Amino acid sequence: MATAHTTPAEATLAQIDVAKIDRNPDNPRIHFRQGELEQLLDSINRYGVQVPISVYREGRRYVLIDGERRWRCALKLGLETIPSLVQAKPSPLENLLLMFNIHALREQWDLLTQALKLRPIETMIEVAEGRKPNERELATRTGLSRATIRRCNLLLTMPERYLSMILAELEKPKAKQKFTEDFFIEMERSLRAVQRNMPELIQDEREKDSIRRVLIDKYKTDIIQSRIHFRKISKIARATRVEADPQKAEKVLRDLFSKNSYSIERAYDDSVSEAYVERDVVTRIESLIKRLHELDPADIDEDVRVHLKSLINEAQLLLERGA
Amino acid sequence: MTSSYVVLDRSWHGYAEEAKEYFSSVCGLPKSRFLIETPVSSDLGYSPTLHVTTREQTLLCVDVVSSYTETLDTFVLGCINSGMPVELFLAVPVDSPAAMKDIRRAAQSGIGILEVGGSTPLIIRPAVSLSLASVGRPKLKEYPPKYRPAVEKALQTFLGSDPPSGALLLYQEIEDLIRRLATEVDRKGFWKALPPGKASPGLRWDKDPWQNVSESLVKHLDSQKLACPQLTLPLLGRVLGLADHRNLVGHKPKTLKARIKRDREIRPRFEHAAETLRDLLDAARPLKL
Repeated sequence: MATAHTTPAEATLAQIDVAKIDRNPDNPRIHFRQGELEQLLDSINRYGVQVPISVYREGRRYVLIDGERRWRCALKLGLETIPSLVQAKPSPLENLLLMFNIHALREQWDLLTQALKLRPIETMIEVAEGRKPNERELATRTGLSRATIRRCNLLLTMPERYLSMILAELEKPKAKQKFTEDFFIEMERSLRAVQRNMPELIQDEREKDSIRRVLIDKYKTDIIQSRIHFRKISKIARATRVEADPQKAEKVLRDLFSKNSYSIERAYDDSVSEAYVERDVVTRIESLIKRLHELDPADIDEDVRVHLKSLINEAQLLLERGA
Repeated sequence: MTSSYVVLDRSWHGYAEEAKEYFSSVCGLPKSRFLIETPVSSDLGYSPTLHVTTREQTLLCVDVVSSYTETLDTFVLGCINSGMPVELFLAVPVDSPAAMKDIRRAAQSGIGILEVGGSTPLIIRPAVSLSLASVGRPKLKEYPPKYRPAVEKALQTFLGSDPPSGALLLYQEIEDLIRRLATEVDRKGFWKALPPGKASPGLRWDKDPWQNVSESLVKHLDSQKLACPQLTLPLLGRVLGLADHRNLVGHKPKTLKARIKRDREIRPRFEHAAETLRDLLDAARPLKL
C-alpha cells in the first residue's frame, strides 16, 4: 500500500484506558458475526487480550485503526485497559485506505459501505494527483478486486432512495434482509442487458425507474421469488443470440414491466425457454462429437460401446418421432 | 431505533430493542430506565446488553446472544458470590444456532431465556434471582408423597419472584404439623413435668400462637411414651427457633442494599426450614398424622 503511514517499528506499545478509545469514523458499518464475537469474548475472558490493538492519538483520546472486535470484547468484559500500538495519526486519505485494507477485506464490509467509501477515496486521489484513478488503480490502492469495484459502481448508479432502502435493510438481521445489495445488482444488470439489446424498451432514466418500481413490487409480493430470476430477463433480452423470436421476447418484457402478476419465470417460458434448451442440447452434442473424434476406436471399452449404442437408439427414435 | 449499542452488532440491535420493549411492558418501567451495555456493578465488570432495576430491587439483565458462553458462567458466578439480586435473561433470536444444550445449561444456572425475532417475544424459561439460585434444593424423594407438591411449590415460589412467600409455605407446613402433633399428644395425655394437678398444658392447640405450642412440646412432651424416638428435644428446639425467622420474612426491601441483605439471610432460612420439615415428618411418621 502506497502510504506514508507509521510502520510497526515506529509505533509505541502502551496499556490504554478502554473508555478513552473511539471507533474509527471511516469504519462505520462493520458487521461482526455474533457467534464469532462470543467466541472471542470467551477467549479474552480466559486469556486476556493477547494481541495489541492499533490506535492513533486524537487529542486526549484514541481512535481505533485495527482491533475493533477485541476492543468491543474489552468493553463488554469491563476491562480497564487494553494493550495498544499507538501509531501516528494518518491523513484522511491514508485513514480511508487503511480502513479498506484492514477491515473491508478481512471483516467483510457490506458492498454498499464499500461503494459509499469509494467516492471520497476517488475524490481525494483526484485532488492529490490531479486526475481520477481508473478501476485498476483503485483496486490496487484499496485492495479490492476489480469485480467488486464494478459491483460498487453499479450500485452507485442507482437513485439515492434505493441506496437508503439498502441501508435500512442492513439494519435488519441477515435472515430478514430481502432488498439486499445482491438483489439490486441482479436487477440492475438485467436492466442494463435490456437497454443494450432492446433499447426501445427503456429509453430514459424515468422509464427505467418506473420498471424498477414494478420489479421491486413483484419481489415484495413474491411474484418474483428469487433474485436469480433476474438473469432470465437478460436471457430474454438476448433472444436473437439463440435465434428466438425477438418480437415475442420484446412483448413478454413489455408485459413483465407493466403487468403486476406476470412473473419472470412465465415470461421466460412464454418466449425464449425452448430456444435456450435447444441451444444447450446443440452445444452438448457438438461437444460430444468433438470428443468422439478424438477417441481411438481401439481404446473403446464395452461400457462406452453400450452407451454409444444407447445414444444412437435414442437419437434415432427422436428423429423418427419428429419426422 | 437507538444507536447507543457499541458492543452488540448493528444487525442485532433490533433484537435488543424488542427485548427492551417486552420487559418495559412486563415490568411497567419506561424504556428510558434501561441501561445499555453498562456494568451491573463496579464489582461485576461484565456489561449485559441491557439492565434495569425493578420496583422489587431486582437487577433485571438481558444479554442478546447467539449461544451460551463460558463468559456467562463467570458472570453468573460473580453474581452468586457477591449476592447481587440479578435476574439474567438471554435474548436468543429464533433463528440462532443456540441448541437445546445451551438452554439446558442456562436453566441449570438459573438463567432465563427470551426468544426474540419471531412474531412476538416469548419467555422459554423464567430467570431465577442469582442471589438465590445457589439455594440447596430439597430432595423431594425424602418427603412423604403427600407433602411433595407443597415442597415443590415452596421452592418454585422461592426461586421465582417471591422468596419470602416460598419460605412461608414451608413454615405453614411445619406449623400445621406441630399443631396436629400437639393435639395428638394431648389426646393421649403423653405429657410430663406438668404442675401438680394438671393433666395438660392447657393451650388451644389449633389457635394459640405457634411459638407457645412449640414451647409446650419442648417442655412437656414425654417422647418415651409417644414411641417416636426421633422426635427429640433438639429437633423440637429447631422448630421453636423457626418461629423468629417466620416473623422476619414479610418485609419488602426498599433499596438494593436491603434486597441483598434480605436475600443473603433468607436463603439459609429456606434451607433450614426445608430440612426441619423433612426431619419432623420423618420423626412423626409412627403417629400417622
